[in-house]
Amino acid sequence: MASNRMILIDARIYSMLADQKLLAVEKLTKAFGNTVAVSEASFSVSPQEIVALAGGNGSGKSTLMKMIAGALIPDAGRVEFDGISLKPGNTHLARERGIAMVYQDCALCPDASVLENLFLGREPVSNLGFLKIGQMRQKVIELLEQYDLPIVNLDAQTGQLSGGQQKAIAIGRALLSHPRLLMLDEPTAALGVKEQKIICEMIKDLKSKGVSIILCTHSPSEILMLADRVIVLRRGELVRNQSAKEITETDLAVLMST
Amino acid sequence: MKPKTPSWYHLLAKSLSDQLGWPLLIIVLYLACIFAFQPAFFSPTNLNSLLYYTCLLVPALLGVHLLIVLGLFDLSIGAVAAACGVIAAKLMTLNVPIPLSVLLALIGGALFGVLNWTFVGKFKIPALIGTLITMGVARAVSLGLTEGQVVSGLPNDFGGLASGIAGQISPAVWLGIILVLVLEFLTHRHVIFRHMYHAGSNRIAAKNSGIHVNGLECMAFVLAGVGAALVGVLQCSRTLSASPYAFPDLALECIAACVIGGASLSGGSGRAVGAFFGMLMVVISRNLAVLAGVSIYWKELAISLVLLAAVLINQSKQTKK
Repeated sequence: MASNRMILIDARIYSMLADQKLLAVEKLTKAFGNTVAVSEASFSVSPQEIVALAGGNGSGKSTLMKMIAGALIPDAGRVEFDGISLKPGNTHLARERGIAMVYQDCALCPDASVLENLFLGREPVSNLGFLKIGQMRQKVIELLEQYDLPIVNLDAQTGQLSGGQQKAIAIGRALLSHPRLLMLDEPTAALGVKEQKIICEMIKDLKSKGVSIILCTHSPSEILMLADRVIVLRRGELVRNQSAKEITETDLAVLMST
Repeated sequence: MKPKTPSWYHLLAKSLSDQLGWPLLIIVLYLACIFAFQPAFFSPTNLNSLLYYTCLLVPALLGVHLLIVLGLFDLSIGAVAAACGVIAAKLMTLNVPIPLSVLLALIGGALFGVLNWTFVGKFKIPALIGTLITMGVARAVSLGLTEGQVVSGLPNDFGGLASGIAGQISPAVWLGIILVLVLEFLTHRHVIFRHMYHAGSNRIAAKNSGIHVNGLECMAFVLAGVGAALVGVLQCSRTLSASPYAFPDLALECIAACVIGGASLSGGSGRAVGAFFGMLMVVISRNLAVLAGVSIYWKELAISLVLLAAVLINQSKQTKK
């Protein structure tokens, strides 16, 4: 009897968690001069969900992500994270609340070491400003125990690593802030087939560890392989918001190209 | 996947070969050639004077080094050094106490640094033009204050700062060596100086990561200004006079030294010790021209050739990357 009640409570909690939205975007709008980049986009992301933002060049995907991350101030609309409204245009606050973004170009310093890039701008320091190198290494070891990232040599010069390894560093840097929502802008662009596969495995691993992901990509096959839901943007307007299981690769290619 | 933890000696060897291998190798090769053709170069007096003159320029060199790390440069430091030397000398001739005169000259250097940053960081004028404007301002200040005449008659006590007692190492040499070692340590370990390297490597990424790039640039320009002022003051102490025309090539020498020392003009790399060896090489080149009996009017050519060689090698290193 008692165990039946526990199962019932567990089912209710599970149902509540499934209904709970981690991110809610309401009528976000952004224009650059006369060009409307994003027009009244509304959607939500649930915990542990991978949402793919699809669309052609200039459809507004990156602008939408930057507004969520606080890198751009929207003209109208609002972003709610975990039930609380986010202050627009504040990357620091968004990061503190648990939103991290990995830019397409990775935003790394090529002359710095892997370790330095992982902590760029957020290095643990003593009262006099000296770097706590030991603490930095320990944090990375803990991160790599938790996530399977292809980061091997922390002292290597970042500019000499492959595109896939650089992407892993950018994702590692985002993960060090313990995000609950990770936004990846074209994570597999300009990578070889083998490296694309590694990044895709990494994304699946992140989902299994409880991280929600917004994935911005051009590749229909990648969307169907990774995403739970697809949002298609066309000239700044949200034209489709659908479960990835209900859409075919051909439909998606047509939607993205028209 | 667990990252490899390298041993300390591996890291030290890698750092030495990466950062200092190239300037050290060049210096050794250079000295070997000199030994073959100009043995007089190796007299203790000559070597001592080379080290002395190199150390005298170190404060300005390190300021320029930080600017080059940030991907910037400063053409005004020679004029600022001359202007600040003149300010200190003028104040001393007006019976202002020596420490106060030196302090006011250093503050003058810092203000010239702020002026540079205002042009480059605030008004977004390219460093080439912005620092050229400051150069004009600083030369005007030194010429205006002196009416083109050398300021002399400085108190003898002031001479101890740069000259020292015979048989002993000059305070200027100690100051130079200590400054190089301190900056070398700070650029390895201190967050502010590490951020300068990051900002020089990728300005936008550093800015997006919350690094205050503008503040770092201001700090570097101010340090370069103060460094140049200190060089001007040390030169005054050495000669007990101040010339408004002093240091016509200081900027060229410092930039050449940093590039020879392994820094990239696009920013993000270079070491203080490397810049020091680079300056040693510039000073050696100048000295060799004198020893070889080359006319004083042609000795600038030696520096230009060394700079050309350094820039060409730097470019080939960039291409390989």
